[in-house]
Amino acid sequence: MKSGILKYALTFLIVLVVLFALVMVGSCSTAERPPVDSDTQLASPSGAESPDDSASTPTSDLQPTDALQTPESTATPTPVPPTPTPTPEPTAPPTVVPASDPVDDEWFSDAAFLGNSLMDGFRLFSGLTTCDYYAATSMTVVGAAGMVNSMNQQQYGKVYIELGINDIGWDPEVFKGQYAEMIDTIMEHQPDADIYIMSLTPISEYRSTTDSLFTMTRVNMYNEKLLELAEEKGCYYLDLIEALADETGYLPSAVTSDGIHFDVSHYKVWLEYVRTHHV
Amino acid sequence: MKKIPFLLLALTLLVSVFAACGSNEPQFEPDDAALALLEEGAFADLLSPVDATIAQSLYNLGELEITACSVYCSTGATAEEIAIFRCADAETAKEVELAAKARLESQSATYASYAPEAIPEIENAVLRIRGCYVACVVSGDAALASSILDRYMK
Repeated sequence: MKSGILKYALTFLIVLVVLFALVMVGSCSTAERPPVDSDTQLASPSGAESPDDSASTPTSDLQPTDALQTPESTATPTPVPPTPTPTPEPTAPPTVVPASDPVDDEWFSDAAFLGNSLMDGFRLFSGLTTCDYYAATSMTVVGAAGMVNSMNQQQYGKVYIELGINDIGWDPEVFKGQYAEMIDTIMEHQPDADIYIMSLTPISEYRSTTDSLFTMTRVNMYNEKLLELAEEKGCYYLDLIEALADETGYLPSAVTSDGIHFDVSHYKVWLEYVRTHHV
Repeated sequence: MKKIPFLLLALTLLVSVFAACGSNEPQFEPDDAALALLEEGAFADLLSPVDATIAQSLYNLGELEITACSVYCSTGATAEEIAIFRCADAETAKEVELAAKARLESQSATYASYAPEAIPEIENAVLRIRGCYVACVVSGDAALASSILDRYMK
């Protein structure tokens, strides 16, 4: 009886040992296995299929990965850092000031308006009273030195200049040179000011076709020089031909008595243009 | 001795008549006179009204008390101008008259080289003071301007 029991016990022990050995052999196997879920894993020693050693299969989070097997194929692609978007450089406002929303009178509280009889007319008739005026009849670029000096006793945020019609007998390059010197002086004493060079205003057709000096041809030549100057000096340019000429390109005859100066209605138009062309 | 109080009373009455603008002095609105000049006078330029603040600045009137004014300026092509002031009193009117003279002298200096043809008009300007009123008119026909002003401040 006892020997029978011993036999069964011994047999059972041997079976256990064999099973244990099989389990150990399975866990130490170098062959890759396919991903398995937890349920399958419990049964894996006997039921899971072992893929071919040479096969390249993605590894499971639940399975150890042999880096020696397929290092290239299994390497997770290194994410390429996004190319930084270059910060756009701030664009400087264009020299010829485009139209924008109108500003109110208060915007001109740190503005100086410098010029000749046309600027004096602007002072009298435009209705703008929140700025400072330095204007006089017959004023030329060179003759404005005294007014510029007076203006430079204060600091302004904006300086508007209307000069040139009384200089129209000069060679345009000479005019440009004189104007440039004036701009340099203003810039030296008004470092924080935006400088608006206003073009010469239009001439009436009658005046332009009957006068040898006050013609739209010369006005346009001078305005070309003023635009050049504005670009060279970093100033802004206001095109008063666009503002004040009619569809024929001349100053309307109904608003002028001498073809150059104009009445109150046209100064209102000028002011509106200045309000809507700013930086 | 008895005549002294009567003399004093007469003197007081005389002073009060000249000191203030009484019933014998002109009484009109500057706007009315300026419009009449504009419509009937001889002006080659386009004249437009300027507001009182600008007018006082134009004539350097400073703090002088102006009760009403009507000023029309030219486009700048000429020196033509209409300026009518009603002042607080006769003394102020004298100050305004001096300021108007200074304005004419300044305009003469400016236009001498700028537009010499304007000089005769400036030199023949009508400058008149009556009581509290001062009128200064630069036009192409001084005699015509003067006759129009006669209706308001002879």
